[in-house]
Amino acid sequence: MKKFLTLLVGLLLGLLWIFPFYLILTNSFKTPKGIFASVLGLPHPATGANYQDSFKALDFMRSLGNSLIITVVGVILIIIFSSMAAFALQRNKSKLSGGILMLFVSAMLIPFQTVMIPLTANFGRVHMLNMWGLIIMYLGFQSSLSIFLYQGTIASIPVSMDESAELEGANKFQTFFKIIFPMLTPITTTVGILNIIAIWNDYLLPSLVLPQHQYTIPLQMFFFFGQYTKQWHLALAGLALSILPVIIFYAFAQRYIIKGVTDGAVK
Amino acid sequence: MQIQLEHVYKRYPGNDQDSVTDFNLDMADNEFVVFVGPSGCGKSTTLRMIAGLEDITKGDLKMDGKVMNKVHPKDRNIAMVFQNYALYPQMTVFDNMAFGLKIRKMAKPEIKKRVDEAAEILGLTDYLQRKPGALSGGQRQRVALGRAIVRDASLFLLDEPLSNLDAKLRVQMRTEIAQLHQRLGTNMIYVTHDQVEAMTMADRIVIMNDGKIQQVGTPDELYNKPVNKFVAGFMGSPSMNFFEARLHDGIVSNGKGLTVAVPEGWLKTLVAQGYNDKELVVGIRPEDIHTEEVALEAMQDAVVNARVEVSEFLGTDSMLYSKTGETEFVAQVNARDYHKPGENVQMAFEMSKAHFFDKDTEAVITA
Repeated sequence: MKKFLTLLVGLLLGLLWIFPFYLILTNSFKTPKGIFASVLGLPHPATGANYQDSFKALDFMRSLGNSLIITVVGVILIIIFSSMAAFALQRNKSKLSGGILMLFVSAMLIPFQTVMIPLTANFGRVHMLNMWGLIIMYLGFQSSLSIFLYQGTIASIPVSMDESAELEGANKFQTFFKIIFPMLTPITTTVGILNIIAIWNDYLLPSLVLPQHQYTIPLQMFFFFGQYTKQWHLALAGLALSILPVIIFYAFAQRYIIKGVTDGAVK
Repeated sequence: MQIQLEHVYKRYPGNDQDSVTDFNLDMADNEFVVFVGPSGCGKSTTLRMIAGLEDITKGDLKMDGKVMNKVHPKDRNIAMVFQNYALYPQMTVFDNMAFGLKIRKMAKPEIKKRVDEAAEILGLTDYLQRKPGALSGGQRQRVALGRAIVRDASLFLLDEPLSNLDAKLRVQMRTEIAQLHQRLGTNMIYVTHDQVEAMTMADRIVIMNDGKIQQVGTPDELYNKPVNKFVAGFMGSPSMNFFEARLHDGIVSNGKGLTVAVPEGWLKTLVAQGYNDKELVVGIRPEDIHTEEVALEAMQDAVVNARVEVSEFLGTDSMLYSKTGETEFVAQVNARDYHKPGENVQMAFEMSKAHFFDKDTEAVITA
């Protein structure tokens, strides 16, 4: 009975999660008229033309490229810098490093909206209102949580690991990259996923910073939502397209994502 | 390599006491020295100062006459085995052992040769491609030793390397490490809180307490000629029995039921040093208390009537935790002389083997 209930609840939750995808997929194959005739029904007649139009209107390959560059470069930088910073802060037991760590943690509490105007103004002054400026901003905003997560894991790695490597002749960088960083893989996976999700989906910050030719997918999507017209059939096809890279990413990285989550649980 | 520690002190920032005080040691070539003492006595700190993992606050560390205080750990040609082994979990056994050599940019064939040799010595040849997670405790310990061996270091530091192993494996690894020392002929410094390990492995033992060296000597010297009450009590298991007693008329008595005669030789010494009619500490090892008929007859003036409180049968010996009057003590007797708890037994104290200590300084009284 208990098993049956669990199954039922699981099934319902699953349906709840799948429902929006169902809406997006079915409606993306409908004509504008078809959507208004029946939102929930299956496409009749089905048309693939929405995808062609949407692909063109979104300038999909370019915005996909922009999204990819910003996400990949940003996440790699965040992982490298925050893991190194966490290592330095955790292993160096001075009051200063404790203070810096507190600063990072408390920075998480500051709402983004309070800093976004002065931030963009200052970046504008140094001509950095482009994707590289955006990556630097992400590095700043996302490091806090990442350092915090890394720091906790590094604390659980015995210092004798570093000392052993040091005695064997490794310098600090070799110790970190050859010994410590590989041991952080589970948390690196977590940090990576959290940041990929945050950066890939972000709308507000890129909308303030990016020039039009560097628009990411979420920004391009707005193209379909004019003040007076909403082109639902194209927007939904565009949404389906924008989900595609995420699904491909998940299919490839699934093994590591699950491993990352379970490894963290066992430790 | 000759290693000298001269007046070495360690004080951690913010502490008002030295963790290690005036540590002096001359270590000969190929010597196996064991630092032993209770937790927090400064033995690991001293080891870490030798490794270069801690700064030396005051004093000099010399290797072959050269002051090494400021030399970086990696340039001291020292290999260290840590209590938790510090094996790199993501690397295979081979890579763990090869790590130090790779860092030092050694040629690959040479690395392979050295690792294979070390693996052969330690019986790890079949495990070279495994990761540490897939090894037993004893095998991990061997990998940690292997990592030290391949380095061909001139000094091995071992920081309580056996404390994570079960009792049987510990005995086995103890022998293996001793054999390894003979085979390699390198200096080894071994830190432990286990006096049995110290006694069985060391050429010389450095026994420490409260950051200070208490005594340096061979296991035999420490066991039979301890310089103070601490050393006498620390070495040997079960530990030496101590009684605070007063010497008068050729006997020592503690007023709590223990009264035994002091042999003539000892009596002269004690009287000559002014201990007549004074309090002192009498120490006698459990194995110097006897229950055999022969001993009782031979030592008639040092026989007590005791009641066995707890008895442990250990196969060859029995431990009798006994009480005479208000005085408790342990006797280690032959297993044939096993007595049940509650039995009243006559026991002879072999006072010629007793140790006497000053009550205030706790230093041993010698002739």
